[in-house]
Amino acid sequence: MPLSEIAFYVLSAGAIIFALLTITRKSAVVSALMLVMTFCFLAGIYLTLSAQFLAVVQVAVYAGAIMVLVLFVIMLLNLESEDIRITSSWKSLVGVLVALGVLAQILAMIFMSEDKLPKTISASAAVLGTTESVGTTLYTAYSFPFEMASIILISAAVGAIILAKKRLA
Amino acid sequence: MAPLSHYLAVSAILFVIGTAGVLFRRNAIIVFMCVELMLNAVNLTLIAFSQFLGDQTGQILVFFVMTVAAAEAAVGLAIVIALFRNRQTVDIAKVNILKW
Amino acid sequence: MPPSSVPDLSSVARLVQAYSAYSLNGFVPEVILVGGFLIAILLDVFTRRAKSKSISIYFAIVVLAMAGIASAFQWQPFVAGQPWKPGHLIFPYSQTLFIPMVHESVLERGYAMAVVDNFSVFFKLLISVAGIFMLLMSLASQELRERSRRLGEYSSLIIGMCVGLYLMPASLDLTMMYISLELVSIAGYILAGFSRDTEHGAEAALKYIMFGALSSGLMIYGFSLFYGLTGTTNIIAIREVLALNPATHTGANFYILWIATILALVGMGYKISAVPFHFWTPDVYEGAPTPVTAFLSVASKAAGFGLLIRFLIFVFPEGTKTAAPVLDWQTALAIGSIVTMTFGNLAALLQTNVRRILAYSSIAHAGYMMAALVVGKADGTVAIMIYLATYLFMQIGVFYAVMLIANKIGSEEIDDYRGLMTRTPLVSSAMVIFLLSLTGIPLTAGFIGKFYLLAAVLTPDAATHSLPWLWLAVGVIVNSVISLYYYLRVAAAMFLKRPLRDMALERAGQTAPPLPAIQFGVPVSALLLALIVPILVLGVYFQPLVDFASGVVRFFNFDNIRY
Repeated sequence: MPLSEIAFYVLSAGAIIFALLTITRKSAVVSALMLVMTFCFLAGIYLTLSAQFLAVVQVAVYAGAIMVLVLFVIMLLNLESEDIRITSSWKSLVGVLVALGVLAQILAMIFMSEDKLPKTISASAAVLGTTESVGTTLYTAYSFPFEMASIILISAAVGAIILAKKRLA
Repeated sequence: MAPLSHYLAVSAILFVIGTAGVLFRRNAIIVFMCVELMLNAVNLTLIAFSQFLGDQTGQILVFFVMTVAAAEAAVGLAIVIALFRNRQTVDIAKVNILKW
Repeated sequence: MPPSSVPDLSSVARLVQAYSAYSLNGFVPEVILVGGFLIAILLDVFTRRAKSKSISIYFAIVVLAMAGIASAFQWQPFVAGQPWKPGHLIFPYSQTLFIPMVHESVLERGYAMAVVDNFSVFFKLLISVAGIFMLLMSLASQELRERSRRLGEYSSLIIGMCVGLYLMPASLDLTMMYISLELVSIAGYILAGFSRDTEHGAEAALKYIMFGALSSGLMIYGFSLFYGLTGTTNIIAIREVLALNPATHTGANFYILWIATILALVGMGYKISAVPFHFWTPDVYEGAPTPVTAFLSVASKAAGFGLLIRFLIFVFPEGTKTAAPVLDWQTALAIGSIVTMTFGNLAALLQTNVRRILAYSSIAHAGYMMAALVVGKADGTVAIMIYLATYLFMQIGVFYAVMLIANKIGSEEIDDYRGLMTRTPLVSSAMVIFLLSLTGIPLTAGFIGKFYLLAAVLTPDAATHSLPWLWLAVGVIVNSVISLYYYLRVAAAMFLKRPLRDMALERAGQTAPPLPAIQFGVPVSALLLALIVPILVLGVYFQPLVDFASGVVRFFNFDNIRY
């Protein structure tokens, strides 16, 4: 088994375990830290796919910016631990069963169509994942959506300020 | 190299975990974190397809998903703060002046 | 899919150059909006000392009007000498904005991010008109006056939202669809929570963003499956790959295609508030400032339908269904349509708050329009566009009337509406006209919308001469009758019922002095008339609207859509 394959399975197991911890921890701070770990493992998985640019952005944006923001808000609000008990037991049981059913269905489909999927990573993958290559595409063919994305960010910045700003006396 | 189906399977598992979190958790901040988890699962699918098909579009889409995720997190957390000021809680179950 | 090599800059540059002449024309309305968006943020800083707090709203009205006019110039009249025929390329009539990186052969055929055609122009005009009415409405809003220091941000967010709304029906690429939809959503979340100091505002925004984030997450997962199946994100390229490569929709991939379609429809269904993605609708419509509610219920829904039409009819047109049996999305959508309209109407029956009644009724209206979407093709598309155009005036009108009444009596409960006719005859009669139009009574615009919608649903099948969607049409008619009950309940409270206070006083043996009359200023009443006139005029003189809508779809070649 080549090293990259071992790395993929180790990283995937880590990502799934920490994702499960994220949704089952009582304390929001612990949940957030578990999610940071999941994001880091995912960045590792991106590297096994030789998507270097996105792996770095993943750590910088998700694990860095977004989760720091989340942690700040949690600490700002000084939350108590949530009562994890879900409203009623049969509801949660049905929910878990539905979730598992959907998952089984998606997995079955993925593995049923396995013979039609490409067997190996594309030969050009290493080049496609570089910052240069992604940047070239982003600033030429995708410059229009790129500009629109900047409007989303400005709106969000303006909106976050007017929503969270303290009421003026 | 692990086959594409394994990448997709990991992504599907993470996606369902995230969705379950959104549906079951009552703390609004944790719900937002679970949405981020869902988006990350989507990103994994997109990158895996992109690299196996040898087409860059998927990675570009991931870039946009990340942008939107950041914007959504900022607005969502601001709304949580505004709600907390009014109600001193972030528990979705307790936020029910307006009926569901 | 054959692997593409690293993007070759020279070929991209060549193509961008070749299309830039088209591109610049196509951009003008969006450029105006983006410029206005940025100026509106800054304007607030410079006009803080000004006497009028509403300068930025007036500015936004001007920006939207300019963008609307610029879009009108993009309208491409149909040339009589060139009859439309199957197989006719629409490319000469449409202008390509930006070319995504697909293979060279595809590039030469001009697949694009977004397109300027009459279909998108129609929606741009609709959104501009809705936006202008909504801003005029904001001037009279009590809720917004309490937050007058924030009106600069308010108007800039509305302009920013309009950029997204403009691009939603114009998108030809899943990337562009996602970005424009999210732009609309994020601006919408902020606007829904704009009156955050009242208890309802923040809660409405929280519910809106939680459902929005969940459904957009599901939608993008669906998009990623589409990308995996076909290797492209352009909806026309997706259609071609589905038609040319049977492996993409046979065997297990057939189910993946189903899952992908359903997930993609979740995000769009959320925007048009179709059941079961409607949960946010009543709360947001009740908690958001009234002008924002009106705008979300008209413009956001219209753009959502524009996106849905593009997506469904372009990805799964009838033409490929015979060549390659792809998906029977029509039956699925028909069931969704019936469920949506029935649920909306039944839930509206149970409400006591007028705004919640209208929220549920807007869910029902989404159901009616979905019925026309089921038919697809030219008839269904024309019917949806006519419906949306008439819906615009009555929906904004009815919310405007609700807002005016709430400004004065401070309530939206149906019991507080009792006896309003004697207190404010103008607003009460206007309200009744809007409600009758929403029901679809003849001589109002609502009737025209319903009429064309039913005509489209009842189009006989060309091959079998049967009516495939008869049951759907029956559903629409039955639901319209149900809706009459709760619309008339509001009207009856205003016209026939006596105020509860009077009844209580009489029971106590006292004579009740009449409640004071409610006065409205001239500009406020003028806007009300500006909304009534189109409803009454379109009720009898609707041919121009029908011609306009038919002129739009003439450019769609439903069997062979190509740009």
